[in-house]
This record gives sequence, structure tokens and C-alpha cells, in this order.
Amino acid sequence: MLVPVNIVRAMLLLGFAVAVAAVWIGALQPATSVALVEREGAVVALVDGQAIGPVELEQAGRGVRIQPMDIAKDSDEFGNAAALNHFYQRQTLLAAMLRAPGASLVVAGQRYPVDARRGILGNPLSFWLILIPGLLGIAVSAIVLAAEPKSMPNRLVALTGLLFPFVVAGSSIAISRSLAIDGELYRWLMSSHEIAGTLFAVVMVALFCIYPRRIVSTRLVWPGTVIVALWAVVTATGRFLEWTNPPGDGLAGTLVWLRETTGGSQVLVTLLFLALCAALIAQFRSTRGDPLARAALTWFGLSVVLGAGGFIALLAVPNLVGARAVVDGSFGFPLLLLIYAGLTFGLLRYRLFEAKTWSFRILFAVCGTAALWLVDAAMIYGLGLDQGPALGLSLILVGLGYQPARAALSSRFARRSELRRSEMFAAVMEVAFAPPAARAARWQALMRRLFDPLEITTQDLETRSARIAEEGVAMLVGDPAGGTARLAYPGRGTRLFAPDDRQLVEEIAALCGQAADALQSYERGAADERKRMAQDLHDDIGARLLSGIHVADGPVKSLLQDALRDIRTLVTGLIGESAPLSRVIADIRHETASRLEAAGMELDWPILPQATGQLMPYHHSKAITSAIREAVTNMIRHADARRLTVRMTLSGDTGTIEISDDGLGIAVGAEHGTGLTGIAGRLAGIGGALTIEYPAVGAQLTLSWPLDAYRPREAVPTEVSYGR
Amino acid sequence: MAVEAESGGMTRQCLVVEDQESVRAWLVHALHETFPDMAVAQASNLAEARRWLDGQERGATLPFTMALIDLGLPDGSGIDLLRHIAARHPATTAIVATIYDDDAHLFDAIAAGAGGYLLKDRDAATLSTLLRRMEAGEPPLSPSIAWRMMQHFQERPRASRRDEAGLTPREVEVLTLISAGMTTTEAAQKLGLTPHTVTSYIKILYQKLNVQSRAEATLAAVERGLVAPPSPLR
Repeated sequence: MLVPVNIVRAMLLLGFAVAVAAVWIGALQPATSVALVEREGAVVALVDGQAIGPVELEQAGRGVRIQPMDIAKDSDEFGNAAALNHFYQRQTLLAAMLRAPGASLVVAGQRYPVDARRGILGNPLSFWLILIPGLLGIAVSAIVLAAEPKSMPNRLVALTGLLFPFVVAGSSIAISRSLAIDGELYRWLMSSHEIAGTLFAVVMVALFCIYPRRIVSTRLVWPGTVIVALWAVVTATGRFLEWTNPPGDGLAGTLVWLRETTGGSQVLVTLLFLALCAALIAQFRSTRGDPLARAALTWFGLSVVLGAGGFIALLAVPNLVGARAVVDGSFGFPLLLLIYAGLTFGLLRYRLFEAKTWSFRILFAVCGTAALWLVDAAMIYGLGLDQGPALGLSLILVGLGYQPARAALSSRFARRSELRRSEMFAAVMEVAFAPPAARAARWQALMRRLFDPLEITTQDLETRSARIAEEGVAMLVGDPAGGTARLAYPGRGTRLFAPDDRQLVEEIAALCGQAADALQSYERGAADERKRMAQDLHDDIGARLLSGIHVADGPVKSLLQDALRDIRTLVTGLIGESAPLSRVIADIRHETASRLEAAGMELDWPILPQATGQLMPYHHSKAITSAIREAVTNMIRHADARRLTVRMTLSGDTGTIEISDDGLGIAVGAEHGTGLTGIAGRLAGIGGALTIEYPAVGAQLTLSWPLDAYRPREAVPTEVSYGR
Repeated sequence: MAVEAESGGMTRQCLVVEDQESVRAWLVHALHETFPDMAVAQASNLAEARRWLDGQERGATLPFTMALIDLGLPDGSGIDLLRHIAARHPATTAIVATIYDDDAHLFDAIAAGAGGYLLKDRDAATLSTLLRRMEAGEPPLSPSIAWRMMQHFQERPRASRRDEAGLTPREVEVLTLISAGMTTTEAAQKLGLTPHTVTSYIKILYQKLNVQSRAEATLAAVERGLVAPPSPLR
């Protein structure tokens, strides 16, 4: 099952198993109570800051002088098989003495006791310095694999991560040994380290042959990798056999001979490192013109060069040229971690290897649960030791403190969302009643709540209800807006999609559809009702007003005409709630121009350069139209003007219309009698304002109102049929 | 209740179709005032109007030059009557008399062959001016109708291969200016034309719309096998 959480779990479990084995083996090793160092070709003990020598190991009356080779940090120091064999034999001897009863270290006549087993906490700092980076490396590469389990580069990264614990585990025990471990164990540990280390280098080179760009053809990469990997195994095996087999005879002898003549894995690793550098340079060239790929490469490549190169420079090269390593091997290993530090940063910053943010969430979740298990195990272990009356007390403490805390923590790491029926209904209604633009987003939010998938992407295909895809990793869900959402890795990557899930989506979709239908028929009913009202207004009141207009005279007539015009606007409002802003303005401009033409006045009102697509809500268009109509009426009737100037600006979220004339002007304080209060009131109703100015000639009114609530155009307003 | 007008001294005749008596009377009065030599026949519903038109087709005493038609009639829509007149009396200027200048219905009326529209709440003087203009072939055009026309012609640049009812660049200019809120006079100034030229463009637009809608209707009928092609358009 390619469930991300399982991938991360499996890899972490493997890393953990290796680490536990290393800790356990380390704990079984003997230890001395004084630190031994080499000074001027002799081994001395550091006692209270004083270097005292010589040092002897004494057991059952037998004493062995400790030689510099016994405390060598790295067995690679021994250039030839004979020296190495001698080293292993001495290690076996010393380890056996350390383990035997009555062993002690004699430093200048003073006896210092030794431990047959150093215990878990007796593992020295250098041991942890090597082991912990190994675990971190596997964790990071687990993320890479979980992100895209089918991609070859990701698999290669994961392979390096799997090798990494083996690279470090053997060394961690051998290098951090206290004086001696069994020679046979030493041999096994160093061989596993060597095989894993060379294979690690091989895989790294293969990775940079295909990532980020494929610069070496597949036909070359895979056979090459296999051959070099086989070679790595051969040389490491030769090393393993060196101790027991002389070079030359039989298969084993041939392997030993091969290793000795080719320089072994140190040469191989150095060559691989050079190949890696070459691949990186080629990659750097091929990513020209792709800054993101290049930045990613720079990060990861640089960290690999610094990490692996540093490691090689510190440890392998000095051995190769026959010099002593300048630093303790345990400090070389954290350098290797640099590779994974660079990888982690690349994953976060540049989405290297298609990493996703959820990959890290998975890691934290898995580590969180793992930590809980560890604490559980510790509790059980602790309780088991507390026999007798202490047991009861412990149980009470666990019940009071640990259990609630554990439950709280556990829910943090493994949260499962279950919607209650009532919540589900509310959520479905939220989707069904959402405005069309927001419906798809709300649907997705509901899916997120239901399944908690790590990934939601929209796809450009039509899906009816739901379909489980990619063997349950994903589910394709049609959304109410007609699109398709791909939900992947449900339950934060902890499970797969099951038929139950599909059924749930289908039920919800049906419920949603019913709700939408109900809403639509309600809206249709409401629209019908509005149409009926509009028709009645037209047929009854309109006709009566019209009769009135034709029998009335003077002011009553114009009053009735105004009333009819208002009904006209009202009917428009009842039918189509909103109209394009540019048409509303065009209509009122046309009406104004016609009225002024009839009144013999000039109009200076430039037309809008182009139509704006915004839809003006009915109450806005009514307010603006009425306000302009009223202002123009005022100017025709009272101003005795020759010319009317209108300037309109629609800037950002405010509409402004300035209307000015060259007439008598308005006496300050005389606004109330002239309908200006009405205009101000209408504008105030839509959040706008009227400003009256008193220039030297004529009057100027400025109408302003907010535009920010206008929607872009969606559909033509509905129509209504008149007639009886 | 088709009322035949006396024909003494009359040179042409007009039909007023309006169900409200007071309004009808007012329209008849306005027609008498505007065109003293025009006989006015009256009808209060579709049936009466059709009867009168049938009588004309059997044998007219005076040339039938104008019709004022309300859209909302007790027994149906005035649109049907407009189509009838456009098909059988192509020389007649059919004018829609309505309360509401809502673009959807006026547009349909123009497509059905109306040669203009007037709002019944206007005062007598305005009504007279409008009637004279429309008789002279100067139909009005409001911004919303212009906008709708433009939409119509853009969506269907040509109804069929046979007719040529696409728009010329000049006509598009006129429509654009008027749909942006200009009056005919203003549009004429802007284009450097006389108002009369602009109104003649508008008249052509009216005709093209009518031709196109008729061509569409014919095409649809042909496609459904209702009419045998080619159908002669009268």
C-alpha cells in the first residue's frame, strides 16, 4: 500500500531497528574508566588532566601493555592485511581480558577498574554523534519517498536514506569503543559500514545522473550503477576476507587480491566523489535557463559536496596517502548529515523531489505517535520494576496524570474528523445556498472536513458524483459547480479511500442537489410573484395614471407623469434586480439630453469611453437615476440656465457625478425648497453623499456613491411580458 | 367597435388600436390635431383591428399610412398585429404606443416591423412632433434599444445566406453613440452628419432588424418544413 504514512513508518521503523541494534550491541561492549590517548608514540592515561603512562591491562595475573595501534580510531589506518590482522587479533585478546573477571587497567602502578559491559548510557558521546545523524537522514529521505513514491529520483534518495543508518551504525560502535571490542565483531561492523558507504556513494552518483535533469541516458545509468555497486560489494567482501584469507588462492583469495591491488573502497569512494562532482557540474550546465531547478541543485549539490567531500577529506584521503586522520572519525560523520540538512532545506524551500508541505506533517505525526509508544514502553518497564507497595502508587499516578496527558497528545497526532449528522446538514446547506462563485470552494471545504486529505487539486474534467482512483489513494469528486476535485491521501495520509467514502459523497451530492432544487423553485416562485406584481402595477395603476395624465392640466399632469416614470423604474427593479452600470448611465444621459433639447438648453456630458461590465444593484440605479432626474428638473425649472455640464468619474470604489449649470445659482440655505434634500436622501440611502457648491455663476452639485459592492456582469436581466 | 371615420376632405387614413377608452380618445385627438387630413379608425382589441384590416385588404377607400398600436390588448399582443401589417401593408408606418419603454418589448416590436414607438404619457405637443417625425421616417432610438440591437447584430451577423442584413461601419457608429446615451442630434454632431442622415440610418437599422427577424422566421419555418422555399416576401 503506497499510503504515505506507511512509507514513512516503514522507513523509520527500519532506521529505528538499526539504531536499537547499535545501541544494544554498544551497551554490551566493555569499558575502561580512564581515557587513553597517544603521546609521542606511547599510550598514556589522562588522570586528573595529567598524562600518565605506561598503561597495562591486567587480568588474572596476566598483563598486556597497551600500544598505540590498540586505540586507533579507524581500522582504515592499517595499510595492509597483515597490520590489520594484527590489530584484530589484539582487539580480540584485549576484549576477552576486559570481559573476564578481575580485569583492571594499571597506570603507573595504580589500578583502575574496568566494566565488562558499559550499558546503554555508557555509550559515549561519539557513539551518539554518529548514530543520531543516521536516524535524521532516514527520516528526511522517508519524506522524499512519501511525497512521490513512484518517481525514480525520489526512490534513489530513499535508498541513500536506507543505506545511511548502516553506514553510520557500524562505525558508531567501532569508533566509540573503549579500548577494545571483539575483533570478529569489529570486522563485521566495518564491513557493513564499508559496503553501505560505497553503495551510498554509488546511489548518489546515479541520482545526480538523472536529477534534476536526465544528463546520462538510462541505458548507461542503470548498468553502470549495477556494475559499480557490484564492484563495491567485491572490494568490501575482499576486505572482510582479508583477515582469514591470504591473497591469491581460490575465490576468497581472488577477492582479497582484487581489493589489495585496486586500493579498496577508499579509492572507489574517492573516484565516485569525483564522478559526483562531474555530474553536478554537468547538471549545473543543463539547468541553465531554469533558475528554480538550478537553485535547488545548488543547494542540494553543495551540501552533498561539502558533506561527502568533507567526510572523504577528513577520513578517507589521509588513510589513502598513509597519513593519520587529522580528526577523530566521530566528527567526520556529522558532516554526512550536512547532505540531509541541505536536502531538508531544499525540500522546504524549492520543493525538491516534488516535496509537499504535508510530507513534513506526516513525519511529525509519525514521530509523535512513535514518541508516545516509547513513553508507554518506558512506563510499563518502570511499573514492572516497581514491585510491592510502590506499584499501587504508580498506578494511581498513571491514572491521574499520564493517561489524560497521553489522550490529549494522542488526539493531536491522530485526529480523525467525524461530522455529526446535524453538522453535516448545516454544512450541506452551506454549500447548496452559497452564491454560485463560492459553491465550489465551500464544497471543497466540506470534503476537507469529511476526509481530511493531504492534497486537494482541481481537475479539468467532468465527474459524476465520486470515483475512487489510484487504488484508493485518491478519490475524484465532482463538485456542484461542474468541476472535479481530486482528493488524495485521506485522513492525513493514514488510510485509503473506501467504497463507504464514495457512498457518503454520493449521499451528500444528492442532498445538495435536492437543496439546490428547492432553493431554485423557491426563487422561481418569488420571481413569478414579482412579475405578477409588476404586471399588476403596469396594467392597473399604470393605466389609471395614464388616464389621469390625459385629463389633468398643469402641475397635476407633471406630477402624474413623474409618478408613472417612478412606476416604470420600480417595475424594472421588480423584474431584473440589477443592470449594467453603463446602461443605467446611458439611459439617464439620453433622457437628460432629450429633456434639455426640448427645453432649448445645451448639454455638455461626454459619453463613457467604454462600457463597464459592473452590475448596478436596482436600489443603486434607482437612487442615481432619480437623483440626476431631480437635479435636471431643478435646473430646467428654476435656474434659467443655458447650459448644463455633467462630468462623471468611476475611479476605484467611488462613482462621482458633477452637475453644474450657468444659471442663477442656488441661494445659500435655500436648498430645502428645491428638492435637494430629496437627492441627498436618496444618495444617503446607498451610502453616498451630495455636495452643493456655490460658484460665482450657476450651481454645482456633486453626487458620489460607493461602487465596491458591484459584481461583474453575469447574465442578462430577466424579461417580463406585459398585457392582460 | 371599429369606427370608420368620415372621409370628406381626407387623403389618408390611420388605425388606432387601444383598449382604454380615454387614452384612445386622446390619441385620436392628437392625430386629428397633427394630421387634419387623416381619417382615424379605432379598434379596442385585436379582433376588431383584424376585421378592419381585412376590410382594407378587400378594398380600401383611402391609403392606409399609419397605425398606432398598444402592445397589451385584452385578446392578445399587439406584436401579432405589427407582423400582420408589416407583411400585408408594407407602406404603412406602424407605431407602438406604450406606457413602458422597456427595451425587451420595444425591441420585439421593432423586429416585428414597428416603424417607431411612443410613450403614451407624453404631452400632446411632444406627441405631435414624434408622430410627424415617424411619419417622415425618423424613428426614435433609446440607448437600451440601441444596445440590444447591437447585441443582436453582433450575435447574428447574418441570419441566412440570402439576406444581407449585416451592419455597415456607419450604422455601428450610430448604434454605439446612441447606446452610450447620446441623442440623435448629438450623435449627428459627433459624426459630422445632419440629424436627418442619422435618423435615416436608424430607419435602416429598424428595417434590417425587421428583415432579419422575418428571414429568421422564414428560415425556421423552412427548416421545420412548414413553408416551401423560396418563400416570396411581400
